[in-house]
Amino acid sequence: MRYCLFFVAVMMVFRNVDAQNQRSPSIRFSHFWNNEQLFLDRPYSTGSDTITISKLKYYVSNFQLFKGQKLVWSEPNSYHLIDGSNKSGPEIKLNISDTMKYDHLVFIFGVDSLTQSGGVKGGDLDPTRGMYWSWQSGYIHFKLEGTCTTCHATDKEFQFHIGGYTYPFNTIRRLSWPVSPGENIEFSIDIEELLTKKLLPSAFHIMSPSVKAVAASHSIHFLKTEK
Amino acid sequence: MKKSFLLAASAILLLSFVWIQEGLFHKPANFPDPVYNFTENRLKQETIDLGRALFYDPILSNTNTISCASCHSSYTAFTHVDHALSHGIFDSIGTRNSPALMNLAWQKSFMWDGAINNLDMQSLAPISHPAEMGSSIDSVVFRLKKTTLYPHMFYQAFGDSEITGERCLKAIAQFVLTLVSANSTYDKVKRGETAFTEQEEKGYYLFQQHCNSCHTEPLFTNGEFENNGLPVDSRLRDPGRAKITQNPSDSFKFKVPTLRNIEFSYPYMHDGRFKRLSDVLKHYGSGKLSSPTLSVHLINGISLSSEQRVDLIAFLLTLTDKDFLFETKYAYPNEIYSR
Repeated sequence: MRYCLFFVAVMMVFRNVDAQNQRSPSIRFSHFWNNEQLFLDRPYSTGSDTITISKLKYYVSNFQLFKGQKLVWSEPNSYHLIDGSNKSGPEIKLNISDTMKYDHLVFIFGVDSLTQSGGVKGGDLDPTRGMYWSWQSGYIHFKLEGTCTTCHATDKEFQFHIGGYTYPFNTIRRLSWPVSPGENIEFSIDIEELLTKKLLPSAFHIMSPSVKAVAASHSIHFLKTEK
Repeated sequence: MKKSFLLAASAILLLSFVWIQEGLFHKPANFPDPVYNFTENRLKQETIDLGRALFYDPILSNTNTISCASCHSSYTAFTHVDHALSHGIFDSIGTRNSPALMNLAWQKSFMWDGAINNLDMQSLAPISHPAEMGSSIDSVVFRLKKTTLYPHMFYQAFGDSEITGERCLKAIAQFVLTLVSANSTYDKVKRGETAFTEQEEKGYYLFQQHCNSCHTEPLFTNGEFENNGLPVDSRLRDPGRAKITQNPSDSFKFKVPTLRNIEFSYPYMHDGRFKRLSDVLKHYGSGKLSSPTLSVHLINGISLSSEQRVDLIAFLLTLTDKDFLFETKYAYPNEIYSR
């Protein structure tokens, strides 16, 4: 009888965990070109030019939930490399209890400066991910590469490696959104607008922490949509 | 608050005791506390061995020809004697003199311009530089996985045989952290085990008067960036620290190098332009130093008589640490490769 009760108790705990997991809100990142999902290695006509994106990768980190001014949850080891070649994108599950009250979500575009200067890290932060500068310490927060057929770039290629974590070339940005409990969240970036309106008119290559990199980091806009 | 501070402090004390107890890293009594954060990369003999194997292995380079030791030879204080500028694959010549490696746990930044912010990240630079190893950390990982030696060494070091960029860099950092030089005649004098000769004593006095503000004891560097008034090489046009900060007030500033083992780390300066110590002292005494960013310590030059120069050099030679130079556990790891 005692064992039986124990079994039931264990079962209840498992069910509870299960239920929690099912209710964990998720966060997705998606990318658009002309209001449709962006595909890498696909030529897009812009009228005067044909643009193909070959690489789109960036870091988002330090996910936190707040109730008013109060921090109620922060994701442990919260570093995510988002890869535009992955169609559905990695889904970030918020492992929180379904009774938790919160009203806004905060995360960092890029990798925080403490982590940047704290030595080598693994997982999504491993330097083999191709998002770490070798000649000067620091993560590339955002990488966008591709070709443009009629643009003025000498090699018809553009490369935007946006990074820098110290003043005056700090490209880290702390972003905050109102959210409601249980809401699944999708953030999207309009790559067409970013590239054709913001980045390409000013440069074809940004490869180091610089004034241009800082300006570029401010032109990357995340739009929030509820799923 | 106070309690947690005490708790943290005692934890740190306990940890440092563990390292010293294991004898893997020894903080010399006359040295300050290291700046490297050992809690994120706990020293372990197997990991140090792995780092040593990687340090001496040309597998890190694109052509399998250049290892870290190619430019950082243990017998010459881990630098490249006789070569003004670093060498790489396909006989490429770099733009700077390879620095001597020692006492790196006390170093705040790396490279002549401080481009690298943490010892862990340092080896990425030569691995990736086209005129050095011309490779990349992911291709290093790819190559190491195909060997018979390394998966086993990673297993011993990290508890499983997975090879990652993080683990490679941590292992190399562990090996170079063990390169501690603190047993020169100077150190023995400081510990009361021996005494300077009269000439060395005179030289030490001159050193303290003229050199110590930048080449600060006991590390013989203050870790800062200074412009020491060298005429700019028109071919290399190296902006130094300003390349990183993009701040004109940092133009032509380079990291103050340690003077330890300087007898063996020639040629001198960031571009290796001086072959002899006497050339260096002549430069500082020439009175021709002028630049808007010149170090405040050099505005009046360092004028020494020829006799004083000889005395000063006699002191500088007391910074040679033979135990460090000929330490077998730093040398080519034949015993590891032949396992």
